Amino acid sequence: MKYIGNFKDWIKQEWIDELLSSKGMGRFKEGPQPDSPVMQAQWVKAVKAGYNLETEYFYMFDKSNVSFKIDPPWCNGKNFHWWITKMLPGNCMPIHTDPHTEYESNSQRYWVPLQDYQNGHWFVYNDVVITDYTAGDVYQYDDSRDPHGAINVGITPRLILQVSTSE
Amino acid sequence: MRFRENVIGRIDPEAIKFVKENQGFLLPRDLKLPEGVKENDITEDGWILNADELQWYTSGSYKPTQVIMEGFDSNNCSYDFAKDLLLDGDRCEWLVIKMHPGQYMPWHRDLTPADNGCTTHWIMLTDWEPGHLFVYEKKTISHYKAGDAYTFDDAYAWHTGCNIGYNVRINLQIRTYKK
Repeated sequence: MKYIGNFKDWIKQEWIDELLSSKGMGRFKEGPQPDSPVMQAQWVKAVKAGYNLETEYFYMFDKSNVSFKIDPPWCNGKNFHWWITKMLPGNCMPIHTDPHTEYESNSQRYWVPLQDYQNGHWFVYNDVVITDYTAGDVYQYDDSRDPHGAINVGITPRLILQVSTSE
Repeated sequence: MRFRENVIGRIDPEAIKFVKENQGFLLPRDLKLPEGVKENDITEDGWILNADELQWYTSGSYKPTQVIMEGFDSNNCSYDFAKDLLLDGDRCEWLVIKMHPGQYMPWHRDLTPADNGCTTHWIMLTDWEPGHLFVYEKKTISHYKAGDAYTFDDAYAWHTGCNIGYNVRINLQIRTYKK
């Protein structure tokens, strides 16, 4: 992943407070069902491996369930959409690729932790666990279709902003 | 943590097959809480949580009634995984950990065995695949092969593993002690 810079001053404490005090969308039990062949294939693979789609593996926020607006300063006017993932201790997201990156034009993916790194807050990008980041660090995927996943084996909630741009 | 050697030729393939095909202790749910510790829905059968385990499974929002992995030892497995594998010790304890996809162990360190002078060894029993994580302090171990053996430099080191992949992950933990 390519490090873009730190935007800690852009992150508002009230965002964090709202995210920590709200439940969010319990994925995969709640929220969108597969809307593309790529996503459908990943769900089938997950179920076959033993993941239960009626379980809440993590919690998702987007513009539909938060009161604040996100306008990432590093996107420079490009089309973008965003979502935030909250993982409580024990939550996880299996290794996967983002289906929308398969059909968007010149898709770029950004990974932005909203908190400083804490032990057990693991993001897996390709084969590597990303650690020692600070709140507001912006990382860009080398390829938006790269496999990634995450787990929280720490003792505090973990909050990550995900941003995707396209042309 | 240092890589030692691959010891797959010294492990009975039937023992690994047994672990793959059978259910082990459901951890930590099958553990019993120590005297005086309250948790109403702990099963009657099973082990007793030691001080380390009590810390691991009651910190944060973890619950000792969860099932986050399976365990095999001499109580539920007739194969002796430590046979021919006594690494730098005079006596040893072994435990096989099986993690299905989505299972994990909270980030932790092993205080009790370290206090008793143990050396900790980890032996992978399944080939690495994406999502099979083992992290020792800030080092990620990946691309390992079944049978690869590693030794902790520091028995008190923080570590853990998890499985966010798509196939079962199995490893053998051996703790050795000098006389």
